[in-house]
Amino acid sequence: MGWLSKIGARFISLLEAQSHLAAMIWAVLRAAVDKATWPRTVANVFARQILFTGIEASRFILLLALMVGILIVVQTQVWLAKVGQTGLLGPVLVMVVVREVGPLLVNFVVIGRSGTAMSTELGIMKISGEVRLLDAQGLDPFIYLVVPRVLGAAVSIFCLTIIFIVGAFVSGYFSGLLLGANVGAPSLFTMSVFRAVQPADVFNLLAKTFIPGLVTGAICCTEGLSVSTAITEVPQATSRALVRSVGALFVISALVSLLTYM
Amino acid sequence: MLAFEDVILAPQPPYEVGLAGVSFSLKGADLMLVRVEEGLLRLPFADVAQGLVDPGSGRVAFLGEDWRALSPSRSAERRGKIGRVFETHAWISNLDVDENVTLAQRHHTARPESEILAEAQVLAVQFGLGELPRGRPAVVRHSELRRAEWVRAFVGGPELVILENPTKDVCVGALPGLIGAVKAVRGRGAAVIWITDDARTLSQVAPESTQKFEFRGAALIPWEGK
Repeated sequence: MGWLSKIGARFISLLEAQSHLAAMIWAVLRAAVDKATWPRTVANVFARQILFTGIEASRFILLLALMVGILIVVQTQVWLAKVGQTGLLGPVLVMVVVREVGPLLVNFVVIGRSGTAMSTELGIMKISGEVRLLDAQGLDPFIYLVVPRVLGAAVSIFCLTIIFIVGAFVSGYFSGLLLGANVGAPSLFTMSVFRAVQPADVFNLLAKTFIPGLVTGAICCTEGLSVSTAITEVPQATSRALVRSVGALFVISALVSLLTYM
Repeated sequence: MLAFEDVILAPQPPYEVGLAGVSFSLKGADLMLVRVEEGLLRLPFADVAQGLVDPGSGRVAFLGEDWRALSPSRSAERRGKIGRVFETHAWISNLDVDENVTLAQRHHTARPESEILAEAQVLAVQFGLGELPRGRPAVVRHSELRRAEWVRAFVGGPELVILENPTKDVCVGALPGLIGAVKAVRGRGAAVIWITDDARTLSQVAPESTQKFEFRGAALIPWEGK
């Protein structure tokens, strides 16, 4: 029974970790709608998080979007031309970029860029006694450190995904034009894109940006604040945060796709 | 203002000792002087007084309320009424010194930032700083940083001020300014706890004190003041 009990213990531990994460996200959302959560100091941290996670990443995301737009068009153009359906470029871009690639890539970038920074920063603050210092001055570390970071990550991922989608469509349109695809006038292309977007796509987009954003923020904050004694724990916590966030991202993306389109 | 009722805390890291049956009561305008053995730096006393650490047994009440009975938000609000000079490293490294000094007031009050800064500047002058240091704590001299901590502890008119070895790394000429600030805050009804191992500080503060104790190991016992 040794191996069975080990599997059982592992499963229970996994469930506990997930329920802790869910409880944390719930606490963040409840705090977010409480006016008392938002003195100017917390609003300031939230604004800085949006600046770092969202605004400072927007140029890179746009560049990524332009490249992805070209890549998708190059590949789909070959196959759509074979079946004489090059006018379907807009709907294909919607299917690929809006439903899957856009949210996934943006989440990856934010996890790698901001998630790791979050867990490192909080880990160092914990080790150096700054978290205790905040507590001693009456700044609840959950309200001051965690809430604005988690919400900032979620809002930033959503906004960056919109930027990505627009960038990929623009790039896709002009690439298609250059490759001789039957994309039509910009207004026609835009209409074909809008016609291809279904209500389920809107739900899918919101779910694949806000939920992973909240989860990534919560995981990275939890791991960062879990360090206790040595500075060498910080990179370990950051690695764990990265792996957990990426794993959660794929699980959430797959589940949302299944729920939305099956 | 602050009451310890038979508080016992087992020794635990990062503290040097625990607390053994500590009892006292502090009223508004009291100055409690606590002598500690030289080099006995990390005591849990101030953290327990602020409700940051729960005692194993006994009760700690601030403004009449047991810390353990308060919600996290209420505890945080109460701690906003306590100014403290910490024994160890006590700066948020990614904020400038002036942001650090005004952080608690900006968090707990709606006072205009200019007003908080103006008050901090007056205190900075009183403590011999000339002006409030700017820039990150890492680039500010230790002696100035220590006095900036004094500014942080007194800004906003706290109800309780806890001073842990406040004269460490500071020249003795600055002590009158600190004693003056202590008198002023006591005049407004606040209580002060002054913890120190420095003989010169003890001799200058003792005459002003309403209660005098010393830590012998984990026990807090009355001190004759000699």
